Amino acid sequence: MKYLDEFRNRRLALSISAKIRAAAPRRKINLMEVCGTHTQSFRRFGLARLLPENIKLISGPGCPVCVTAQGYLDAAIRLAQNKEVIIATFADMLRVPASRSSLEREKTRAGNIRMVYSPLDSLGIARQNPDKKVVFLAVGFETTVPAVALSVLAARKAKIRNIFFFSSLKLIPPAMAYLLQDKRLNLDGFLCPGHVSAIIGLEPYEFIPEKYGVACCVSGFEPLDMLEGIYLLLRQIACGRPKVENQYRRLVSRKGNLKALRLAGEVFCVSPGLWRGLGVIPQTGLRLKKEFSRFDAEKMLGVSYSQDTAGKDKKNCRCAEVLKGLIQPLDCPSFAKICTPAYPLGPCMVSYEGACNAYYKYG
Amino acid sequence: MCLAIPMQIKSISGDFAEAASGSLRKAVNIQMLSAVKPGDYVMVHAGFAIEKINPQKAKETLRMIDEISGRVPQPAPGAKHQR
Repeated sequence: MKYLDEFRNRRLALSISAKIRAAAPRRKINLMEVCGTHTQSFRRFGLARLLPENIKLISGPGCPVCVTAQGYLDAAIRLAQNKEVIIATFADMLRVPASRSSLEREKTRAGNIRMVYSPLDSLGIARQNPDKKVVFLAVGFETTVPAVALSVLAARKAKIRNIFFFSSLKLIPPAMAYLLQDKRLNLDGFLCPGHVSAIIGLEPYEFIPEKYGVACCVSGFEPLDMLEGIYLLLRQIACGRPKVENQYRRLVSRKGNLKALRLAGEVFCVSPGLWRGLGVIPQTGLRLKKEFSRFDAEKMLGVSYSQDTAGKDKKNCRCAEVLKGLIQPLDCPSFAKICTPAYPLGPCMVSYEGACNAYYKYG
Repeated sequence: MCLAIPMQIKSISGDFAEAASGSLRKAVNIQMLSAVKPGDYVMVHAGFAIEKINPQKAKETLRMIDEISGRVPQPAPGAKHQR
């Protein structure tokens, strides 16, 4: 078993689709996913066509690049303009438009921006450039948090003096609570993110059915995973018995990855988080703990961003509403006209995990 | 940023393992995992193995998918059904 093809069987997908149609309540049902990889998978495999018309899977703020505040990008660009600094970043961040520029444009001008696959790669860049300050742009959700934590610990162990971490790391479950306050969304269920859940387990979602009566199911990313996850959600909704179910049992356990959680807790503490399109959401950000201050770009390099410097979306950009799930990309008048992956107005069209990017590529 | 791929551990050296997916070979950090050995499948994100894949539970998931799809009869009501 290779854990991919087995979960892409077309005949089984069509069979589950038929079961979904039979099991689904007749009224309009709004489900939301909060993971950019779910967004991509759903569009890439054409799963919307396998659902009845009254069942909607809305794309929420699950793309960490898309929900990074514009002010954070502006701050990163100011850093990049300093010749003593090398920026290390995941590739997705490069083309996101900031207020006046982008990291890609700055890379062309100054050349001191490097793409990395892993936060650990930034340590290698720091070692190779001892006269420069290397700043890693830490953008991601709980899936990425332990990886960044381990990189900070590795930097401390190796006594690397010229590496810094600029955190825009965010936590998903409190953001889901925030979304549930918005009655415009009228949510019946959440398809919960598979790899975030591999780290955090199922317990952080339990308040959702308990307090809000909304169904939850953790799901993997292959077509059969998502279809089974949607089927399980609809079964909960039809029975009126919301709970947290786990479709992704081959990877996700009830308690999550305790070692990864312990490592994350060793390095980070919770703070308010600033989300593009959603504003400040309490308890959703992560900051380096005091004992790691010497790796904190905000403390050591005088860079910061806040609600005041968050920046406004460009005129004609409706990313904020797309991120909240209030509109679909097709509802944005700029979509595929003045906003395309080659010439994006906002992050949702740039990022691989952005809703607009997924709709543009796959329909 | 949930993007991750399943890879098989080929060999281990300290905090790192050589992992493979098809012809792709990568050095992967395994410090998030307590016990991992060559032959295990892990999910790799940003150069880190974030969790081991449980082959037994993968088979159970496929069996349940078969049941839901109707290819295999579902157990009778009251029969123990592990989720």
